[in-house]
Amino acid sequence: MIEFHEVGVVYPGEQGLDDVEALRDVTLGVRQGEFLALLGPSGCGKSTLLGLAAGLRRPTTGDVRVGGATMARPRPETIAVVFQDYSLFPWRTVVGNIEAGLEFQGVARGARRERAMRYLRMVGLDGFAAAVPRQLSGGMKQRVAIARALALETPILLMDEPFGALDEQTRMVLGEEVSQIFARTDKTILLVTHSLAEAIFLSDRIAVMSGRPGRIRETIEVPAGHPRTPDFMTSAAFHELRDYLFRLLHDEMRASVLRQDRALARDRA
Amino acid sequence: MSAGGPGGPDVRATGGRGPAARRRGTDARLAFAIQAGALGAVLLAWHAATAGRWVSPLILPELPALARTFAALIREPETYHHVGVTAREFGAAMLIALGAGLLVGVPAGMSRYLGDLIEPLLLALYAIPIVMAFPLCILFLGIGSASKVAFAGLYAFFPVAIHAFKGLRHVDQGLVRAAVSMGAGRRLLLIRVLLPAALPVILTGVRLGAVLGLLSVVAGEMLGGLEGVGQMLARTVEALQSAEAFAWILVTLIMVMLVGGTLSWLERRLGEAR
Repeated sequence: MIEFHEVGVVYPGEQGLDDVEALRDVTLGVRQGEFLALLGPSGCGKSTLLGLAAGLRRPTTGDVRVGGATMARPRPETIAVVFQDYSLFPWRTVVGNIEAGLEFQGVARGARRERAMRYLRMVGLDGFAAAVPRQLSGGMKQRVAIARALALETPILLMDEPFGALDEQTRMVLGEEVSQIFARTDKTILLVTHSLAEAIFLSDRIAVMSGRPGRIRETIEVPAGHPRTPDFMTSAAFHELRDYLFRLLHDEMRASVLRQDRALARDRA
Repeated sequence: MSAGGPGGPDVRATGGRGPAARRRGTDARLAFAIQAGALGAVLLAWHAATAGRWVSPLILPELPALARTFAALIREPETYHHVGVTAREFGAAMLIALGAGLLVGVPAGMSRYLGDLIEPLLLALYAIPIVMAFPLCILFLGIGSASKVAFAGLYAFFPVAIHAFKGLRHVDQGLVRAAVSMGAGRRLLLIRVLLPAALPVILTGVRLGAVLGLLSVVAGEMLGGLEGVGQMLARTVEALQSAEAFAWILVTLIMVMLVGGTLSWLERRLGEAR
């Protein structure tokens, strides 16, 4: 469904600085109906990869295809995105935010309100339809952002660290809710995260990325069906996988920090 | 329906009467007392100076005389003719300033290239004392209303254009990215995201432009004109009718406060809604 083929991204360096190679030779496929988590240390280019899949940027080399067609621009009828910073319009009400998304996507005026309310109910916020984002907690804002993306009724959903700004408790509760919601959809989902537990709890498969330039280091299947309950988090399989990922990422984070140190030392010399 | 339901997450919106609110209230009352005191002191000095004949009533009117003259002035239909002339000139000038300001500021704020091109030009022109353009306005457009409209329109154009430019350029790129990812084209992006997001900043520009514009209309009428509150002020000053002159100043001040106050209120309302 989503295919990255030998993708490389290089950002031109600003004001005399070297170019930054964010991604190198990334080849990865997300199968139809699959929930895939991109896991990696910060700065490994995982959000860049998601931006490519969203059509918000183009690769320097290689090819990104969705449903067989090369991504050149956003395709709102196929792909919806949930951003880390919620990106809610502060001057619109909660329901107005979801309606705005439907208007952008081209849904007829008459159908917007009913559909927006349906998805607000799904995330349990129909009582807050007339509130403005400022009045909501972080977790509620993220649920609105998720409802806005779901309301677009796209076959593909991309999520960029959707729970990144939330506290541990809210993350867990919201993660469970999301797991329940996604178990009922047949969406293809790509989740960017740096949380091991989140990746294991939510996804079917985890692609572990290495630091700059970002590459896919390993992909690992999560041996459990959906929906998952909190019991899964205390199971032996969960812990085994968590330990394995921890060792993998721990080495990766060390390597990435050492790389940065070496680069700084080289610049000094 | 609002966020105040059971387990509502936030009480900021209700503006609770907590200790902080009470402290703010005291500060505001104290500030108001100081302001009122200062104004009272000035009026008292004024009264002492004129009642004691230290200052000639030809220059500074006695306060009771000013009050009588002002009361008579606002009962005079002729007054509203001049207020109307000034208000119409101001309205026309603002239409020009808004139209031209948005026409320049909005595209400049939307396109990085255009913005980089236009911004230094705008700022350089704004730094020139625009008063110098007034004799040219008279030369080109005559001594009637048109020259005031052009002059004030030019003055008010710059704050509107510069604020529209800055407001649009600094719209949260996350909102733009989200809208684009949901399929917003250039038109929807502008009317549904960029303009609403930049509205508070644009309104600040409109308020600054409006106050400058009104003052420019009045100044233009004073410098050379046939009617309007500025012209009446200039005429009464020349005739050494100090009570009448100060009454016209009061009329002008009321107009400026109405315009500035209305726009400040709008700005605050909008800020609170965010």
